Amino acid sequence: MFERFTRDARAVVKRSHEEAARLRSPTVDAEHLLLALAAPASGPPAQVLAEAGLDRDRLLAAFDAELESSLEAIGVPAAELLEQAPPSGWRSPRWGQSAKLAMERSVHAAATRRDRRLLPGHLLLGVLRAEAGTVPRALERAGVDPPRLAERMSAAL
Amino acid sequence: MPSTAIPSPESPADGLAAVVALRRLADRLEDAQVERALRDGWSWSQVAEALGVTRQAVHKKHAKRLAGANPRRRSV
Repeated sequence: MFERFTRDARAVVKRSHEEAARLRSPTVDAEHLLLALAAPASGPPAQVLAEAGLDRDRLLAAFDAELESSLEAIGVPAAELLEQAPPSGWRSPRWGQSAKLAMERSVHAAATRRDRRLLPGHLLLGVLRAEAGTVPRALERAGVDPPRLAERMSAAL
Repeated sequence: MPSTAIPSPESPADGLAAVVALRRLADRLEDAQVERALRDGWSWSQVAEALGVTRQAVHKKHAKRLAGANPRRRSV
């Protein structure tokens, strides 16, 4: 899969793994891909995200808010429990399904556009094409419309 | 004691998101409580029995992550 990835795209993938490790997640998820894409070093996708007000801090806040609200919605006092149990310890995260799905969709996006190389922008398209799960829910809570963001990214590719 | 209805998820999307969130919460609670138990002097076997899993499973899942949490305990 990675043969057509540009050096920058591979750097995004590597950065996603680093994000997941930094956040002590057992898996590298689509959220971590999105965090990696928001880093200025990722180039155009970071600009598209920044224009929508989505820097790393804002994304982290959105993910936390989504987790808390999903728990509160079924009566679990999320904030307290999460505070008592911060992520801890050293781990090397394994690739999670949501990240794999996002990358497959990125490859498909590049293929559909007949782009010969896969750029960081395609990775953002892949993430934004999620049909369900944490990322679309968090983005919705942050007041962002994924299809519109995807259009802006496509235009910039 | 007043009864408090536990709200039920509004839609399948919300319901499934609640499942995902509960799993993440359970993972974090497990991580925190396993570490706490070990620091308190529990053995890996005791932690495993409390969780209803094998000692090997608990060790595999947590030992590397917690290297140093209970240095006086043998790792096996």
